[in-house]
Amino acid sequence: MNKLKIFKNGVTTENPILVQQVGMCATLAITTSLMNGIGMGVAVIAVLTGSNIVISALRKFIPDEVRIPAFIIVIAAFTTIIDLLMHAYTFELYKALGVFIPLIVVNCIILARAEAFASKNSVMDSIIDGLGMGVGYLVAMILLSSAREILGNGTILGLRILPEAYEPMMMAIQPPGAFILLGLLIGIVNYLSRRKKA
Amino acid sequence: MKNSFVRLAGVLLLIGAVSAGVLAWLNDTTKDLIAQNEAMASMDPAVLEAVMPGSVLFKEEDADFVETMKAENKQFVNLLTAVDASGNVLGKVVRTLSTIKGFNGDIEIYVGFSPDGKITGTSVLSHSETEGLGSRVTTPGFRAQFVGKDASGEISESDFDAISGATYSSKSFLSAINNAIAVYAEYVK
Repeated sequence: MNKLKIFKNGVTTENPILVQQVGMCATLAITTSLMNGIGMGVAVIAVLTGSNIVISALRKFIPDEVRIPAFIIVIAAFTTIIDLLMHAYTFELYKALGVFIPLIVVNCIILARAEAFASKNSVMDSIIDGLGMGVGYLVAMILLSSAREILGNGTILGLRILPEAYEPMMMAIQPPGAFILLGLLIGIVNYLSRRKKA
Repeated sequence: MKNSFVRLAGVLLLIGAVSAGVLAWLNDTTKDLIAQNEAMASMDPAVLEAVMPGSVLFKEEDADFVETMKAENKQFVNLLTAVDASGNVLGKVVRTLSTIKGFNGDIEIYVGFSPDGKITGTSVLSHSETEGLGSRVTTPGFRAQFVGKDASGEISESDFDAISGATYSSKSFLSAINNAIAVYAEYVK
């Protein structure tokens, strides 16, 4: 498969959040500020790309019968690596993301790419697939978390952009706001992609 | 059949063992930094600012050294190093109990010392003085008079303003400061 097409597939055609809609709990929970969204997105890119590399490199060595536990061990190892590194070097972000860092292990997008792509394709293609899917995830997180931070707090990355007179829409940073804004975001993406086809 | 069972288990074991090895190594490399982050988060910023302006963490000293000091000075609790956000050493902090009892027991305080031997600030960790009277030793107004005092010698009772009506508490607080000065003069200077 064409390398550019693999990358584009992850970012747009099969965007993990906006099209496949997998791994929703972390998406809905931590997108209260743009910084959290970026932090989570980068953590997922690192785990996804790392596990894709190792799993595709070992794809001939891992017997079919035990592939799922083997994938999970690899994914868990990468998640723990990211967890330790963030705990040591980006402590504030680590506190903000809390339990959702270790929960990357059970984020379906990681296991889905291991099973559907990395276990069947070359290392190079798997790296591109991991980056593409990861960037797609990051872009969706940035869109959702900036919308929530602007509406719910009047700031972006902690900087005030709406005048003081703006009454923050509290619901935007609460769980119901996450569902509503994500729904609107998916609606806009569907509208745009259909118009492009027509 | 038996062969494939051994092979499956073997592959899983191998993957698990390599992962465990990598994680053990990484855990070992990051554990000091993580412990330091946690220690920083557990410190109250108001206390840090009161004892040593600009500090973000009081780092532990060598445990054996502190044990020796404890054996020689009964009221002494701990000696710490105050550092700022980029890790520069700002001075030493002595944690000590008072040597003269207050109205209801010992007062425990932090005393900060700058590298040139001046008191940078104090903070009360625990006390059991009368609420509203003796407890006024914890107020910034009372504690401010010790800031900038030279730690070359003991501060005498005539050199400080006791809280009127709370002489015992004031003297007890002063004794804790003087014990910190004694520790600083003997072990740090």
